[in-house]
Amino acid sequence: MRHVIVGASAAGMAAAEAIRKRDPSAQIVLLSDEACPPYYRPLIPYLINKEKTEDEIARQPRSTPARLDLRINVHATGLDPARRSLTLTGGATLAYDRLLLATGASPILPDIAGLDGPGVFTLRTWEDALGISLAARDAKRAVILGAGRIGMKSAFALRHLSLNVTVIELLDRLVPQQLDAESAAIFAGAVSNAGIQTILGHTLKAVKRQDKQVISVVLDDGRELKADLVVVGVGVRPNLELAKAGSLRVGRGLQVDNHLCTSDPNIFAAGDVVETSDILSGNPIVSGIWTNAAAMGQIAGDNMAGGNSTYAGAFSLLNAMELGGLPVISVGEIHHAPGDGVEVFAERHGSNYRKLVLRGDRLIGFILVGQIERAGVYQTLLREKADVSALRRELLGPKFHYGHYILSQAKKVDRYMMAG
Amino acid sequence: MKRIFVNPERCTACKTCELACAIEHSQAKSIFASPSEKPHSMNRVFVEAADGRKIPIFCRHCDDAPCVAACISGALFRDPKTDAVLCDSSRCIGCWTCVMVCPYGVVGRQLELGKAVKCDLCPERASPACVASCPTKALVYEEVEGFSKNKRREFASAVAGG
Amino acid sequence: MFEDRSISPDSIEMLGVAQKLGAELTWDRYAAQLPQCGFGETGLCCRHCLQGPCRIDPFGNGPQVGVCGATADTVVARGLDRAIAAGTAAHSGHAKHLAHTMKKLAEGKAPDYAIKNPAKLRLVAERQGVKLDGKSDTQVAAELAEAALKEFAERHAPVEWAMKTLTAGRLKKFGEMGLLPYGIDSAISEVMHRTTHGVDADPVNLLLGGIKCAIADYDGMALATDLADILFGVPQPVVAAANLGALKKNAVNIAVHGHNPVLSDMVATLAPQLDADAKQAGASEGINIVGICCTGNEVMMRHGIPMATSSVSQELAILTGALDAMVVDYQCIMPSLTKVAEGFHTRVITTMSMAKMPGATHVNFEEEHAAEGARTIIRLAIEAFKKRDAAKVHIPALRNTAIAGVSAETVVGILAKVDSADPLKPLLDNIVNGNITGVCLFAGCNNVKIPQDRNFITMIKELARRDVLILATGCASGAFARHGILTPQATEQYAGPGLKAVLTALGNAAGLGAPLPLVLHTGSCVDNTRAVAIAVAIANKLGVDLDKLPVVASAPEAAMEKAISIGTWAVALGLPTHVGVVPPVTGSPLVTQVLTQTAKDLFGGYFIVELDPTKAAEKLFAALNERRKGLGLAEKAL
Repeated sequence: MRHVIVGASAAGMAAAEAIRKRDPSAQIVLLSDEACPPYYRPLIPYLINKEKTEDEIARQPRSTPARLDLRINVHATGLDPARRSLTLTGGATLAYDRLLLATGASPILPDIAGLDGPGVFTLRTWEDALGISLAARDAKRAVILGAGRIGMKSAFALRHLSLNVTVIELLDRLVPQQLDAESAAIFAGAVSNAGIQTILGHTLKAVKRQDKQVISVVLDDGRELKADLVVVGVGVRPNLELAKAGSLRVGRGLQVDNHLCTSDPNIFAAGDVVETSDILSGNPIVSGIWTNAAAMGQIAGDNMAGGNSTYAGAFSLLNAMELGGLPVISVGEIHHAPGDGVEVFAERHGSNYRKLVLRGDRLIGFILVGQIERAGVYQTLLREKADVSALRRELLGPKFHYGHYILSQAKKVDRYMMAG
Repeated sequence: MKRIFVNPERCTACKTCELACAIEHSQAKSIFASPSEKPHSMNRVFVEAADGRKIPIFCRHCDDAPCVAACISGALFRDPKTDAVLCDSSRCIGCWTCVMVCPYGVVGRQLELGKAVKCDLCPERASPACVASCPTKALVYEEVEGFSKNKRREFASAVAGG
Repeated sequence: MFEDRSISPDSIEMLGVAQKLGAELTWDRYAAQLPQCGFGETGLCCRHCLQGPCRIDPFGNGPQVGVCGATADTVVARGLDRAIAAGTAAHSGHAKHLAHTMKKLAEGKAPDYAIKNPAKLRLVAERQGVKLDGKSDTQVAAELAEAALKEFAERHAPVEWAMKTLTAGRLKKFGEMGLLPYGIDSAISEVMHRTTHGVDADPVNLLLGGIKCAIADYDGMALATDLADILFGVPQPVVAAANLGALKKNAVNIAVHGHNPVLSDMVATLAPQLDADAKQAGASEGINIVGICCTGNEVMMRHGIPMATSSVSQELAILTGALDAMVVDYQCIMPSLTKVAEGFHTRVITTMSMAKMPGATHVNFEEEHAAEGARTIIRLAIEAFKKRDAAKVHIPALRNTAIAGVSAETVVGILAKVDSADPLKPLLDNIVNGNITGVCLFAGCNNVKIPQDRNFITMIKELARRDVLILATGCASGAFARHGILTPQATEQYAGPGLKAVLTALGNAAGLGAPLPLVLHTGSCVDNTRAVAIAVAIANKLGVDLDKLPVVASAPEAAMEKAISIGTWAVALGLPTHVGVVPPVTGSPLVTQVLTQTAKDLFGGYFIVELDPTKAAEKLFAALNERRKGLGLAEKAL
């Protein structure tokens, strides 16, 4: 059985691991379109200010499945599901028994005048990071468009290189998907302490150049800011070309069933390319989260090798980060206002903040800033859509822990706890 | 492979296991000298109270460990020899994704270093420090297969309803 | 074999016997207790109210305060204070027992006792403010007993024994710091009060309160030593013996164990009267009294009775199968003795209504009928002897000579033979000229955590070769006795040249024809005050306070609360004081610092906690040299 996986990042590697576990003798071919060995994409901001080297973000043998036929710098341009074959650049074909499309997503470049050209970067690959790092050597003033995670990580990295950094965000708060107003306010303090300037509620209209070099940016309200380096982080879009080439069913992303199988029975998909469903609402979503990609990859790979795992859907918000010394974990639906069956419990002490969102007897979202211990136990409640009616007091109390959870689950067997 | 199993009825919440764990993971390995070390040593096993019961909570080194799958830096990995889930501090970037996904809440944060800390099954010992130190033998270190024969009996009720 | 348990050959031999018998001893019980609770070890457990038990995490990961808000510093200080109070209470009980006995004697109610040393009676009475003129010994004794009993009550002035026996400098310092206790039991009670929930939470204030109680401890001990000398005699040098080899196969062996000579002296005195009975029962050598622990020290010093064993090895005496009775009063007596005795014929006899043990025979010892009580006890032992199983008898051969009985009076007496006009001069001259580096007082117990005697013997060799003059009391004496250190031979073998020269000269002056023993056995634990008397005399002669003297103390294998209270007053008196185990204070870096560093600034004395005996000896030697330097004396090189 030959399994071919297109894409060697989180989903691709997790799938390879799952296949290897289920079928020690299977042939696994893993294709990467990047000209470097597989690496941990979330770590590329560390390359900007050289906090980590390329070696230090590369995937190590201990985290790589055995006997992998890894082919880097290989682009798959064509897909023939009937013949079960891929076409690679240069014309070569590659036959498969099972195929996994883990082609990921690419950064969105908004329609802004002057964006095209040197000095403007997105941050998706390690090449991007090295490019920014190089450009930063001669740059003095960086402008970041988008205060999402990519934008903020770039901002802190460039600030560490002593550049003057301004972040421009369309919405009214920083990291708007992952933070609510209160936590964004706490975070804003850390951002300001780091000397990063922010402009909220605005976007860019144009990038001005002189002799092709960026010299300034113009905001939507007409303000002009001097700049010599621009990083754009306004979101990603699934890479659907290969799927479309194989006439697979696509929507906002590559559509799959709950076994992560595409419209072709021998082709599976996982990771940022996939259109999955939000585990809480059931709505279709595209997830750009490493953790989700790995989870999907594991299930897709298991099924490719003959397993029967189902994927229950992804959290559209599944965030853990520490920026500017502030740890934040936010999961699920955190932006609800109370009412309509939804209760919101929030408390803040200095830069410690905690918010729990309940709908009926279910926890549907939480955000923890500062004291993030045991966040995983809350996450379990979300994922299992657990009935927390017996747990309310402890859940809202100062130290909710696994002991509370397991005692409330009368039917649940914890195999590590003995009787008598 | 061996894992730590708990008999919560035998737990007196003396927290000797917590101290033994912190001592074992320190430099000086002494109750007298270790507490003053910097960075301070942290226990990776926890004894909590719930509903008047004493519940030791510890890492299971899960088969499909969510922390390993979720780790964005390759710091968490499975030791091929012992099958334990280990955290390589040199790769850890303190993103706390593991804290977010651990169903037992047993991944801690070493604040002075900004790294995740978790149980490593005490690789340099014959049996983990917590197990060796438990004065009532509430913690045992056993082969997983052998334990399976006993485990079905009255678990849920013993733990949850008893 | 058993090197982790004891280095004393007779103990080791009996440990082999114990193993064959499957007897469970203190070392086995200690092993079963491991690991001991880290919260207890660091002093971070508090059980002073029903809202606990509270514990504070020494690593800072868990709770840092108790339910009431007590911090680590408060919890540790309160715990230490209670240990001081307990130690003080023990010595207080011992002292007041002597005072009651003297009172009864003076009232004619305890005819079996006598004033053995009327000279000391008058000396002490006069010192303590009793007017002597025209009074009989009995009258003086009555008044002295009253004065003594008053020490324990609520009073309006500082306790009198401390006021009359300490240096003016110490009294002034303690007075200024508010540390002079007004009553022994008052001080104990105040500690219990201030350490209960919601009273004193200031750790330094608590520690000072503990020091005040420790000074009360000193007072009670000094009183006890004086009254014991008056009632039973001032010790003079005596050649006795030590080790389990002191037990005799053909005698009725009776061990007196515990503390108070009120009991043991009576048993020792009456034993010869019942020799015939013993012989009639088949013991051709009659009655053989041996001692264990402090009461053993008391009768060794006054009657030459051998010290069979002590402290951590007390159970081994029963395992010899040759001990017919173990007669106990109070303190340091393991309740396991009755269990150990189950396999043997040994009668464990308790004598005090407040100190009983399940499985023991209780003979209520009353001073009013002391002789009768002693005879009853001895007869029980003779009866028990008849049930001895010869097959079970195993008496180790080891039997060392031990010279004991070095009271302050003895020291002065010997020195007076060198210089009758100025007895302290020869001692001081030799300190000045460096023949004697300084003085170290060894005290305290054995501790099951340390191989029995290992620290004592290692340190004695290190200090002796550094020309340190050594005094010992309590189970420190017991340790040295076991290893033949209380002999002139030990001086020949281990003393440095200066020390050897001095001990030889003194030994000749005393008419021994041999050097004085390497260690001067000064008595039981309450007799630590004898060493203070010598130190005070030296200090007064030199015109300095105790904190300037090259005098240090060491309890290298300390175990009991009494050792904590004694160590505390030794520090308060200005002595660098070594402890060979870690006391439960490390959970509070503040308390630890006060005990080991701040104390030096306040009192001149301080605790040295050092588990390695060789390093401990080096640190004490360094402390002695620091004192020498302070006095303008040349420091000793090694």
